[in-house]
Amino acid sequence: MFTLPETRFDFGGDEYIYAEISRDMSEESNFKALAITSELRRRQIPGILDICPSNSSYLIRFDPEVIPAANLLDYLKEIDMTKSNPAALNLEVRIVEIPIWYDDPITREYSRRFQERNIIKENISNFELVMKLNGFKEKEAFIEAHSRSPYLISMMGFIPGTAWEYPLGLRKDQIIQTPKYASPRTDTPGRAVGLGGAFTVIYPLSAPGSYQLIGMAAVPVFDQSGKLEDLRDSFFLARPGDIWKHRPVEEREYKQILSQVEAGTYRYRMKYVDFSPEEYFAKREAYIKQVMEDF
Amino acid sequence: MIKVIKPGLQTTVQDQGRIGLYEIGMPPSGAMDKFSYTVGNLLVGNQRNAAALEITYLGPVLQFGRKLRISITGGNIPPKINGQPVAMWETLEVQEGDTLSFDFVQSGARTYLAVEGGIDVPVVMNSRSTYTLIGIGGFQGRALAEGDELAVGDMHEKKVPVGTRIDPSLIPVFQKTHEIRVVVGLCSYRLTEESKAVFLESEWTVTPEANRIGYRHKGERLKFVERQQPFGAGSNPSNVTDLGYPIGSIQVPDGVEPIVLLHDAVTGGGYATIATVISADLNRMAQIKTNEKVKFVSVTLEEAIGARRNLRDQLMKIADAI
Repeated sequence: MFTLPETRFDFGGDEYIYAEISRDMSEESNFKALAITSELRRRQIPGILDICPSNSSYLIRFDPEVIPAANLLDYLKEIDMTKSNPAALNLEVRIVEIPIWYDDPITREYSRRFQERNIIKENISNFELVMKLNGFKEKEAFIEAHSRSPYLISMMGFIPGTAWEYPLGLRKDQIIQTPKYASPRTDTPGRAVGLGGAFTVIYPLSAPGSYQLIGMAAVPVFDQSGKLEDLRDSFFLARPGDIWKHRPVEEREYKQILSQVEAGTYRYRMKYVDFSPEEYFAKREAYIKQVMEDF
Repeated sequence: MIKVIKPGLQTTVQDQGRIGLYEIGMPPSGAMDKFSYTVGNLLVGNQRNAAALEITYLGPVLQFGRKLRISITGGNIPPKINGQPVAMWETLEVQEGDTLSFDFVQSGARTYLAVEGGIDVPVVMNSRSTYTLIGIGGFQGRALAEGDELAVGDMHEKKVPVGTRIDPSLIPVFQKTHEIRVVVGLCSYRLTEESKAVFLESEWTVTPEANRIGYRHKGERLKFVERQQPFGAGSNPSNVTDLGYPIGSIQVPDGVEPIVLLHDAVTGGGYATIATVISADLNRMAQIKTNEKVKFVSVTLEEAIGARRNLRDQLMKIADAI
């Protein structure tokens, strides 16, 4: 069981309602935000234009001429009450596998190129820096730590398709954490895997950025060419509430997957499961193991 | 067909925007000044969501491949057809081979060219709006360039007589100092009482960083209430746990230079939002230029909705008259 503080609601001008579930990042708040926003989508309320879950809050854009602000606020408060019961937070989630080549030459090269913008200016790669800051001696142990647990997509933003990934089933002191660059890089390669704070992101395309780069995903998270069946309709891989599983690959397999992506034959490995936050909070790692079974 | 002889500073195809994709981090894009954009479409008899050209600061030179009704609305960048000045906010007609060009901007910042039938570009994720950051929508996902050829669509619904004008009292006037109405709130609890007052009492100067993503303003530094930062919030006092940013929301990274986020902005992040520009004034925000002065005026939600209703009534009046 868990309890959450009372949600604070406020208006962002005449078109937005902001609902703050808690001021700190917590899995409880995020699951509640995901559950409320998925319930809102299901209800298809006329006048609601955008439904946007965030790490510990959510944002609704509405047309006040279709649904009066005060009515919508009452409505949201009512849903918030029903979703204050952990048993009501069940979600259908999609598990997606992301093959990653850790400590690869591309992100090593970017580490070198933007070294003077990082928090320490020593000549080490971002991968080595994050390992060191988190007390890892062996590269393999670090890769294992970053790829063993699945990650929950707690929100999206930055540039379209960028998903904040938060590790599931770990205590806060087990989570790999790292400071971001002191001053942002002017460039990051698309598909690069970055770490900032407690979050992992995969850059959808080349962009400025300040997360520490630790590897390259073999698969794109954004593609508008239409060649990949799984991205044909939406262009973007991530959805808030997805669970992503990192799988370490070596150079050979990385290149193999890349050529399948190029040829348009690659299919993302996916599985749909019913996820119960209540069971998760009761059993933590054991529940994650159960959910991830035969994946 | 419309041929781009010169592209202007930044001319993009825009419509009402790409709504409903905020949760995956996709901002709506779309016309920055929706009032002027909408009047433009009305003057050529288009459907409400027909795509138009948004012209910024410096106008393009365009050549028309056939006889066509057009209208030019928004900021005053004086238009000329074949070198002769023509009126804004009026239904015009161009002939095959006519050239449209513009003088230097007189007031405002963005002008809309609507053409009968709308600009025809592929619909990408339910909109024709250009979003240059990731290169989608509009004409090949980018601002127009020399030599581009734009097709004209079929989104017109009525024939509007040439020479149709709107009531001059309904034409917005763009000054060099601006009062922009905001609803204070969201994470305004992070600002000290003194800084809240400074925010609303200062005259802010718009910096050169003023574009479709957002407008940055120079002025006094704002201070945040001291606290132990919550888990996940980041270490700067201006940081909060990552949240969604409304269009028009104002953030003050590190307390320096308030940024108003606009239609191409990031959809969320870790800076405290302290107020939101009301929807009616986003149109006027779009007509502000670098170095102009802005004062943020606090209004209630009811006043914001009232202002929105006024604007809608004005548009209905214009539509009825046309």
